[in-house]
Formats: sequence, structure tokens, C-alpha cells
Amino acid sequence: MFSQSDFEELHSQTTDGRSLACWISRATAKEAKGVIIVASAFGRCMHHNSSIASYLINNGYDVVRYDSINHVGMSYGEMMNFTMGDALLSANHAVDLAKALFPARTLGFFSTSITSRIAFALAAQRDDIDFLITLSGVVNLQKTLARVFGEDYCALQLHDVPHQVIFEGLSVGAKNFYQDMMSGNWLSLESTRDTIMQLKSPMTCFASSDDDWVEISEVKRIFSELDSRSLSLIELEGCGHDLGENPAMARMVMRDMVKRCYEYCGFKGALIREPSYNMLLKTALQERRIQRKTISAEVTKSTIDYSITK
Amino acid sequence: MTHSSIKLSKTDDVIFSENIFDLSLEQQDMITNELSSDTVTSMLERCPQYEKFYSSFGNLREGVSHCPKIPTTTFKLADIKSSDCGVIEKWCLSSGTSGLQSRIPRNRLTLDRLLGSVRSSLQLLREWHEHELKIIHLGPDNESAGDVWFPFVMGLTELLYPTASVMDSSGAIHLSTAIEEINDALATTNLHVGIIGPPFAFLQLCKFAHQNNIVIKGLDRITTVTGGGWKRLSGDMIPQVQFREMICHYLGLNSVSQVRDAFNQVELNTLIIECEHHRKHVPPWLYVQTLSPSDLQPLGDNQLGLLGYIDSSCDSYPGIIISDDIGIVSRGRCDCGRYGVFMEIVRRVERGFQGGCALALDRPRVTEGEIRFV
Ligand SMILES: [Zn+2]
Repeated sequence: MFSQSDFEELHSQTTDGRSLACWISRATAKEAKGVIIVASAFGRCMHHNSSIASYLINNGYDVVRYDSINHVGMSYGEMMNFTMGDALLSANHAVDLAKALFPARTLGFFSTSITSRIAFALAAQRDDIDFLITLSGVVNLQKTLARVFGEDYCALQLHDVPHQVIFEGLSVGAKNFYQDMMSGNWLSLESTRDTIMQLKSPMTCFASSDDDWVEISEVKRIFSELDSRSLSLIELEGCGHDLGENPAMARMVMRDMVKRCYEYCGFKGALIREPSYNMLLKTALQERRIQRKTISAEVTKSTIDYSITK
Repeated sequence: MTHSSIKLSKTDDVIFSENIFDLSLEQQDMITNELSSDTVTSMLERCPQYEKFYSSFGNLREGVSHCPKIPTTTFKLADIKSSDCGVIEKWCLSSGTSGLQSRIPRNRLTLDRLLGSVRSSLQLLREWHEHELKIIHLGPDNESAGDVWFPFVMGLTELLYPTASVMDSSGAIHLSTAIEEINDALATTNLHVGIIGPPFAFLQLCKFAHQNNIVIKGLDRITTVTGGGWKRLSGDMIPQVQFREMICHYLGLNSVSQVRDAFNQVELNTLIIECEHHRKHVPPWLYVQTLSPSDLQPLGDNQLGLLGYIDSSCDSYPGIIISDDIGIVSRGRCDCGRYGVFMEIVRRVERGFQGGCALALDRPRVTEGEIRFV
């Protein structure tokens, strides 16, 4: 199925028969330099990455975006059933799909916030991801969740965990999430360190110095154990967790991200082509309209839940 | 690992920081003084047209309050831009109620900062997440707004929230659609409803509701933001207090604090919005003052005069301007609890202030009815 915007929409079945929605955008250049999978952040959908996708396709990359299963967006399920396990399964499926669509191409994986914790696990498990780029990546999930929700639910027993918690106006089922997290060893800083020590691919991490949800000192602490070929840490000075609120910094990051992709794909020093403002704006608005039309019913329901909880 | 960093300018750090209106007055003043003074210095280096204009005043007294400011009329006559601003992404036009239109060149950084200013001004309303607010825009969508400034700025809210624009490309506002959208959002969702548009569109909406006996029960679930002035419908203009009460009545709102006004003009890159006590809080990257209409000497706080600005968010042109508006600037603690600088627009001057047009008339060229600087 093709949409009005410059992407192809695919609904692909996971091994257990659930539908994963993907937007596939093709590089504007004749010969693509590689394919990048762009994972949505927690509580965000494919359209929130329209600028990143535009920068990548404008600079010769094919882009695969997807919405996780049991998450807000166009894929199967709802946020009430979100788990880290389903997010990892979704990421794995997106990589398989990208491999099938673009065989023999250099493959990078881009992720933000909690999804980066998923990406670390993904790249530790698989040897067919050529590089990782993370933004505001979560390294201490328990601490981040405690800051986000204002209470450390992970320190509670299951029966004390509420039925649902609210994230940016969205209801998230807390008990499922909790049980899955406990069994999956996602929570601690140490678990993240153990995971990244097993990474087979190089990685660039953009981390903000004023991130309220991710302490940059913890990022530095666990990443300092990796050698320089494996990891580049880029500190965004004076910036917070959500780069969506800082378009000037977001632009610098997107330019730098293209530069890193070039380096990982053997095109070091190639010219960075910046998409025009009008093009970025037009794409962002078009994609928002498509996605919002699809998810409005789901969101309406979730917002009503919110008021009941309050 | 290798470690490097990316840092933005001082100006960007301020524009994109959170809770800018919660700073103390001293902190805000310090930021304003530093940024506006840097902006004047930078524009003298980067914009030869501004440098020439500035120099024509001869010996000047020190300080940003005395630095020469470009009458906004000049932007109708000349294309004024800084020389090293890279690609101009958008030439923004005033709505042109009286003949010639201002043309303002904006590069990417200037446009990004505008969005930053929209975001931070929303802090004076309430911070809704994308899933909590639905906007009804009594104006055109981005495509129909084209390069006309105020509708373009208003339309940017669609980047942040689901938005229904009810003005078609011919300029007609579909009032029944607006009412349907409002009542539908109130009845079938728990979303908050934001209604935005020019004041004359709100007047028409209220008249339409009155004539058709339409009841809207907004209670605490609607917030309105007007902006863009009355334009050619200035004959219909209603004093602010009555205007707020009218909107409150026809939309069934609990309180006039849900009715807000925003101010901007094409030559200005910052959106200024009212708090719940209807005071327009000026963010610290914008220096605002009043000037005597007779000799352009700076006036003090609380004195009626021409409004002058130094907008440090402008990178691609000098936002160092004297407007056609008569207003008052004050400072201190607002009843909303925030400290800062406040401005009030009282009225427009009869005719655009024409002083300083030598800048534009240096080497004019007539193109399709417009005078441009070449
Ligand atoms: Zn106030």
C-alpha cells in the first residue's frame, strides 16, 4: 500500500502473527550508501522521525521506520500491553525486513531514549547490524523510569504496582511491563554495561549534558570501558532529553549523524546535503496527518483512561 | 571511547531552555542586556545595510536603548539581510493591509528559533502533550498560508498538535465546520480544545453561534488564542475586555483566563503571549522599549510611545526595529507570579513611521509594483 507521502507503508507479520507497520523511504540518490533503521522513541511514532528520515534519504540512505508492537502507532496492540520484550521483537523484525528488502547493504540502527536500551540488546544478539547510533540512550532503566514517573515502581513487589501509569498523556499498562522487565534483566546500569560489552558493531552515542532522565556521568562511566574504535560519545552541551524541543540542536545532531553514517559506510568526508526547510516542514505535516488519522481513536480512548485514573 | 561535544550559541541556549519565564527579573535583565548588545555588534559586522544606517546617525550615545532602529516600513521598500546567513529558506510577507508588503528573509536558524519561541510561549498557557490537545485553527493550513506571516506562524502548531484548519484556500472560514469540530471534540473525547485565529474570525464565530442558537459548553476544556490583529476589519474592533467576555459567553467558558491574545509581526521573530492575567510577557532574548514619536528618544517604563525592539533570535536580518505600534513597557512581578518585562499594544500609529527610509532609497529598483533594494 502506498501513501501520499514519500514512503511505502508495509504491514509485515511477525513470527507470532502480529502486524508490524513500517514506512520504507528510498534514497534520493541513484545508488544508496546503506540502509538505516529508525526506531521510534517510547510514546512516539514514525512521524516523529520525519526530519531524521529526510536527512538520511537526502544523503543517500534508504530508511526503514517502524512502530513497535503494543505501542502507540500503527502496529498491532496498545500501550496498555507494552513490554520491553515486544519492543525487542519488533526491532528484530524490522532488521529482518530491512535485510530482506535491501540485501547486501550496510545496515545501521538509530534509536532514541528507552529504545536505545532495546538497541543495545539487539546489537549484542545479532552480528548483522553494522553500526548503532543512539540519542539520549537510556543506560539505567530503573533510574530513568523512576524519574519519568516520579516513583520507583521497580523497587515494589508486583502486587503493589499500579494497573497503569501515565506517560505524556498515554496510559501504559504497568504490571505487564514490570513482569517482563524483571524477567528480562533490563533494569540496572550493570546490565546495560554487560550488554554493551558484547556489542559486535561500532556505535555513536549522542548524550545530553542536562538530561533529567539519563545521567551523563553514568553514560560516561559504562562507555569508558569501550575502546575508541567501538564507541564515539558526543556530548550535547546544555541540552535536555528531548531534542524535539530544540530544533537548533536537532539540526546539528542530524548533520553529525549523516557524517557518522558516511564514515561507517566508507564514504568519509562526503558532502552533507541539507534538506530545505520547506521540504522538511511539508514532509513533517504530511506524515503527521497520516499517522494522526490512524491513531486518533486509540489516543482518544487512552486519554479518557487518563482522566479516570486521576 | 572517543569523546567530543556539540555546543549551541548563548542565544540558542536561552531560546531553547525550559522555564524561561520562571527566571528572576535580574536574571532576565542580564540575559536581555547581554544578548541585545551582542546582536547589535554582530549585525553591524554582518549587515552592511544596517551598518550604513547606523553610521548615518553620527556620534551616538552608548547602550542598546539609544542604538538606531530600523522603521518597519523600510522592509517594505528594501530587502535587508545579513551577508553571511547562508540559504534564505523563506521570504516572509506581511499580510499587506495597506499596499506594500514587508519582505523578511529567514534562514533555517531564524526559523528554528521562531519555533523555539512558539514552544516557550506555550509555557504561559499550559504544557499539553501531543495526545492531550486538539487545535481548531480559524485560519488556513500551512499550504494555503504560503509565505504570509501570521497564518504561517499559527499553522506551525500543527507540528505539535493535531490541528483542523477551517479556512479554505479562497480565504473563506467555514464556521459550521469549526463548531462541529469543537463540539465533536468536547463530546467524543477528553481532549482539551485549543481554538486559534485572528480576532475577527472569533467575532464571526460568536455571531454565527448567536444567530443559529448554537450552544457550546467549553467549561474548562477550551483555551483560545487570538493573534494577527483586526486587519481590514478594524471597523469591527471590540475593546479587549468586552471581546474576552464575548468569547467566554459564546464558547461557554468558565473563566476569561482561558481567552488569550498573542502578538507578533512579520519583522519580529518572537511570539509574545498573554499569561492568565492578560499580560504579555516578553521573553529575555527580546529587548523591548518605547520611543518618543517626535524625536525617537528612548522613554522610560510605563510611558506611552512607539515600540522598539532588538530581537536576538533574528540571524538572517537585523531585528532591530521601530514598529508602527504605540504601546507601554513595564516590568516587575505579574499577578500570575512570574517576574519579567511586559508590553501592551495600545494602538497603531495613523501612518507608518517613515523616518530613516534613506536606507531603502539608496538604490531603489521598481519590480512589479514593489520597490526592492538591489
Ligand atoms: Zn503574568
